[in-house]
Amino acid sequence: MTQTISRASLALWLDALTRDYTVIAPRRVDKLVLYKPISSAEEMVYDFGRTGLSAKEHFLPMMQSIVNIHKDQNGLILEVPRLGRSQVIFGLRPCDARALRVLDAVMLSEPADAYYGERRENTVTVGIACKEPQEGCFCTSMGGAPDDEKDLDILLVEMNDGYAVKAVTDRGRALLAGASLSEADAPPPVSKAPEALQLPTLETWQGRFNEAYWARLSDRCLGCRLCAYVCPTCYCFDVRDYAENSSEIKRLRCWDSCQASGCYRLAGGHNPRPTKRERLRQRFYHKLVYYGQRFQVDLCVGCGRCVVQCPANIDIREIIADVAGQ
Amino acid sequence: MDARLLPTVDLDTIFRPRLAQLLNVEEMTAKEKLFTFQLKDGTPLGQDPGQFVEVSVFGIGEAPISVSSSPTRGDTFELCVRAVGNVTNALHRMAPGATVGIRGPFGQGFPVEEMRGRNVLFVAGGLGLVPLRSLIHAVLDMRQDFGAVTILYGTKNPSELLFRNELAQWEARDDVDYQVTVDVADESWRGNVGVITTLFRGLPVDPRNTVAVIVGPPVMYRFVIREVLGKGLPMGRILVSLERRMKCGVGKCGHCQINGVYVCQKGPVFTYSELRNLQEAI
Repeated sequence: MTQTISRASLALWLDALTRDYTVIAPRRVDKLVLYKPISSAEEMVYDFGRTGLSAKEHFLPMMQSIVNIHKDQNGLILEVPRLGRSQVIFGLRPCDARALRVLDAVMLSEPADAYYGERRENTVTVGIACKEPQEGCFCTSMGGAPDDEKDLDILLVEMNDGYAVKAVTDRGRALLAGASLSEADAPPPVSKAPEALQLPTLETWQGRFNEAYWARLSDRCLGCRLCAYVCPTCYCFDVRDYAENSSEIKRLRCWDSCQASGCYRLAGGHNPRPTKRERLRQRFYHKLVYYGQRFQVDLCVGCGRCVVQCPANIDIREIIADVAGQ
Repeated sequence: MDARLLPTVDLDTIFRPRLAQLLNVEEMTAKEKLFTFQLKDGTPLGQDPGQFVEVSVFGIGEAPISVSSSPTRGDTFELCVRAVGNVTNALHRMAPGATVGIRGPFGQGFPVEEMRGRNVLFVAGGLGLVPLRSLIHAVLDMRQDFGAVTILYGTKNPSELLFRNELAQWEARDDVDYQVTVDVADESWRGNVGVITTLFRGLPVDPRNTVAVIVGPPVMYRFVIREVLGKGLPMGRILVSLERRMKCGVGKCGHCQINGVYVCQKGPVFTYSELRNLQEAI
C-alpha cells in the first residue's frame, strides 16, 4: 500500500502549515523559480525542474547579521539575532537536501556555527523526487539519487493526481498529522536517474595539480562567481561591518566566492592564490578532493546548476572526465 | 511529537566578541604601533605564544592579528599592528580608553613544552618578529629550561626595526646570541648589511638538539628553510607560522584553507614536515 495525498489536500495542508511555520516553497520570482516564503499554497509552483538557486539561503542567508552592535554614551551592547519561527521547506529536491548534510560537516563541526545550527534544528524538509534528470544533472555521481529520501523528513513522489507520501523521520510524521492522506494500491513511479560518471582517484587528482590544464581552463573563466552563488554546498563567507548610523551597526556575513580576486589576498598585499588559475583549481580541488579528505563527503551534490548557469560553459562534469581521462 | 522545535541552540558563541579596553599606544616605526589591551571582564587573554586574535573595531570590521606578548607577562596583552587595511588603520587612529572587540585566542601556537631542553634558533624577517616576540619572551622568562638561544632578525632597512629597546637588551645579554641585518643600510647603520640568509654563514647550530623557529614574509621561508636544512636540522624541528586571511578564526569561512587544512585551526604554527607536501603552503 502507498500513502498518497491529492493536490487539493496538499494545498489545504500547506495553507494550514503557514499558520505555525514560515513555509518556503518554489515560487515564481520574475522569470525564475526560487525557494521563497509563501503565504498560501496558491503561490507555489508544482511543475519546476530545478530552481534557479538552491534552498541554501534559508540556512546560510546571502546576507545575515551575526552581531547587532548598539553604541551609545553608556557603552556598547552586542546582541545576537535569532530566528523568529520554525520553517518548513517544501518541494526540496533530494540533491538540495543532501547538500544540507554536506554542509553540516563543516558548519556543525566544533566549534559549531550556531546560526546555521539554529536554522537546521528548526527546519522540517518536505522533498519532491525528480521524475527525470534535467540538463546538467549528475546526482548519482556524487552519492545521491533522484528519489533519495535519506536527507529529508518527508518524501513526495508525483503520481496521478497527487503524490505518494513517505514520512522518513519522526518530525516528518508529526508534520503530516494535519494532512488528509489516502491509500493507493500501486507503488509510486520510479525516477529516471542520470548516468553516473567515473570519478578520478585521489592519486590522479594529486598528480594533475600542476598541469597546464588549469591555466587553459581559467582563460575561459570570467571570475563572475555565479558558480558559488548558485551552488547548494558553497559555504565560504565574508564578514563586514555595516553602520546604519553612528549608533547602530550590523556585523554582516555574506556569501563569498573563491573566484573573487581578493578572496585570499592579505592586507599587506600578498595573495596565496594570485591568478584565476589557482582560484579555479582551488574551486574544484576543494569540492572534489580537500573536503572529502577532511569530512569523508564531497562538496558537490551534482545538482547541475553551475553547469547550466556558467556563462563560460565551464562544466564540472567535463573537468571530472578530463582529470579521470587518458 | 510536535514538528516545531523551540530554539535550544546557544547562539552566544563563536562570533560574539569580548570587549577589551585600549590601555596604551606606543609608536614603533612610521607604520607600526604597539597596542596594550585588557579584557573588560578582567580575565587574562590566556594565549599560547604564537596564537592570534580577531580584533573588532566596531563599525569598521574585524581582522586577525597575532598576539605579540607572552602569557608569562601579566594580564594585559599586546598587539603590534601595521596600518595596511581598514581595521588596522582604524586601530591606529585610536587613543587609550577606546573599546575594541576580541575573539580568540585562536589556532595552535608554538609547542613550548616540546621545545624545553633544546637550543632555540629564532629567525625573524620584518613583521615576523611580532608573533615571534611572544615566544622569545616566554623562552627568556624560563631561560634555564632551554639550551643556547640565538635570535636572527632582518628588516628591509634600519627604520623598520621593531621593539628597539628590547633588541638592545637582547644584544646585551650573555645568554642570547642576537644578530641583526638590514637589506639596505642608511648612513647611521654600522651593522650587517644583506638579506637574512647572510647571517647563517659560520653560524654554529647543533643539529642534534636545536629547534628553528622561522617567521617572516612568504618569500623568506624558502630561502631560510634551505639554510637550516643545510645545518642538518630535521624537518620536524623547523617551525614556521603562516599568514592567511583568517576571516572567522573558527574553521568556517574558507579563506585560510590550504588543501584540507584550515590555517586558523591547525596553524598558524606548523612544522616544515607538515607543510612540505602541502601544495600552495609556502
